[in-house]
Amino acid sequence: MSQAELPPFKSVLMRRASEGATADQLAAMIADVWLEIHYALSPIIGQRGAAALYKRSLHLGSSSHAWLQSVSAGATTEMDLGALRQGLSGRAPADAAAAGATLLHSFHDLVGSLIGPSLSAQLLGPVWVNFFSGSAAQDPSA
Amino acid sequence: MASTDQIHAASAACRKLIEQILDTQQELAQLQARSAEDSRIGVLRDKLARLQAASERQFLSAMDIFTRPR
Repeated sequence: MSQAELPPFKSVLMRRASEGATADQLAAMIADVWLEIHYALSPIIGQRGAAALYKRSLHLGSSSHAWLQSVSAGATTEMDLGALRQGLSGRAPADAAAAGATLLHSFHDLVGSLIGPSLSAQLLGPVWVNFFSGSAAQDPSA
Repeated sequence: MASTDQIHAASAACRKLIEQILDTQQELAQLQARSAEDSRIGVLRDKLARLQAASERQFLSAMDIFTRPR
């Protein structure tokens, strides 16, 4: 994946939904990648910095998925991934996939605009590699 | 209202701190790999903690600037 290329979050998540993944499974997958983001960024920009990015991504995502606003309300100085997971689990799988992809895109763009694509790739590259390789390996029927 | 100059300055400050943290983490890992007794390890750990605190503050400030109307 080149730095300028937008990661295919949406196609991966929508494919998983179309292959039969439940909203719970998609919610777990999306919450897991946010947890990895937290582990990657917290030692660099602190828990509050990582949480601020998460909260901003929720805010941006809520313009197309209004219900994300309620998830954002609980996110203060740390990422409230339980609330995100619960919110995603309550949606139809395709909606959960679309909302999860929107969130990740918003976050990806935000980090890229803040620190540049090169540094962003250096910090988050392993997270994206895990996400895309893991999602390819997962069996939605499992 | 955030100006373009403010946004660029905030972004550059974030990048600089992150690069310093990554360099210090690497230096620390190299020292630890050579000898766990090296007295410079403590100095580098303190430096890393200071940089991380500064980075968090700078990042929150940058986020505030980025989210203001332009």
